[in-house]
Amino acid sequence: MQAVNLLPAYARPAGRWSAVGKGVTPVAVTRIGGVVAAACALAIAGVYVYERSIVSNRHATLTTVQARLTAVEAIAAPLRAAQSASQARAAAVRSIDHSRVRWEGILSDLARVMPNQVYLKTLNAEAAGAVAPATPTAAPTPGVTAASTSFTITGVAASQADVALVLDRLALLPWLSDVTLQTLARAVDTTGSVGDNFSISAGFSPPLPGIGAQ
Amino acid sequence: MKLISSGRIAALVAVAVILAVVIVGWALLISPQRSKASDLSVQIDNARVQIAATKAYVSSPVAKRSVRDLRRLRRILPDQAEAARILRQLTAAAHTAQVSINTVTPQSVVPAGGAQALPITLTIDGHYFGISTFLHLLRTQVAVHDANVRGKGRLYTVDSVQFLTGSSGTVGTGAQGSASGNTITATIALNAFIFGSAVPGAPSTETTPGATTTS
Repeated sequence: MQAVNLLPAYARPAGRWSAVGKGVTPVAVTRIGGVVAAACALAIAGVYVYERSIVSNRHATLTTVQARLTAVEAIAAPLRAAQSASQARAAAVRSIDHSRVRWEGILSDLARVMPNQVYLKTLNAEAAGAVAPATPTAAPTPGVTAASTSFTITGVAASQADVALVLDRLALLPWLSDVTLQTLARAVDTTGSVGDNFSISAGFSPPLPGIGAQ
Repeated sequence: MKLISSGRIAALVAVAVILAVVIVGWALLISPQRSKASDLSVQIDNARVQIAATKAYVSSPVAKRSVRDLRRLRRILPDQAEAARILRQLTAAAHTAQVSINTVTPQSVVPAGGAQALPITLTIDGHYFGISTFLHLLRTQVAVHDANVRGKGRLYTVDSVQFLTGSSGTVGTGAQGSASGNTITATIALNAFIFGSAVPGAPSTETTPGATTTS
């Protein structure tokens, strides 16, 4: 059997929300709503003003911070420029230094290997890959081979055996290669003593700084 | 029933209007300001970080050293030919090595790597080891150890050395030569260097190419 509600519709108990707004007129709702909306608008305006003040403060802070940054950068800029310029110059110096020849080492080596009773008359050494085409002003020495080789010496020895010794010893120098006797001629000087004039040429690979003895 | 319904609708409309006011006000007024404030905050933070980094750089040893290094490197590799300084340095080296400089002939500036070379031809008189010392002094005015450049003078390179017969007729080397007292006339082709990009064929501003100084 199905249960039947015998009460008329107006006498039946209402739902939870049936009483809400029962006594409120649209005019009252409009008034209350208007007041609440106005309050919200005011609140939003207040928050807006507050946020604007924050923005304004941060603008001011940013301006101050940027001014400080500019001041600090003004101090740092010349230092950075100096550092950059230093690095560029140091790089150029290092690059040039790689091509510098340790001439004192060459002369020292040469003096060490030259035997007794042998004297040099001339010496001409030109570094390969020279930086600038600087040309010595002196005229080429007679008996010295033209610059087909970069290392040439002429000299006089007491005997041909001494010249051979010079050739042997020059060949031992690490910065000389293809040591070649160009000329050898016996001559008598003004004092009447006999000597052997020689001319020797060689390939020249001069030692660079940091190689060999200081 | 009709009144209740109208009141409810009015309430719903009022709630909708209030929500609309809040949402529109937030979206159009408050949110952009908050966004701006946030952006400004990021900019301020970035600027502060930059300030801190720059201050750290300024107070760092590298920065403090940079000006001193540049001053020192300008002596080694100057911006100008500075012929007077070259002459002083050559004279000082010659004095120390006990050789005498006969002629100094500067030539036109030529490009050389990251710098410009000022070729100078020197003729000097002296003993074999005096000339060797002179060349040593010129070279050791600047020393490069690892990546460090040190020097009290200018950077020179010597391209060629030519010894001619000295006053006594021979150039002595070795034990006999050094003891014999012979003097040598040596022609030395050296280069002083000027920092900066090369201008091919441009003559030096401070030296007259081809001019010969005799001391």
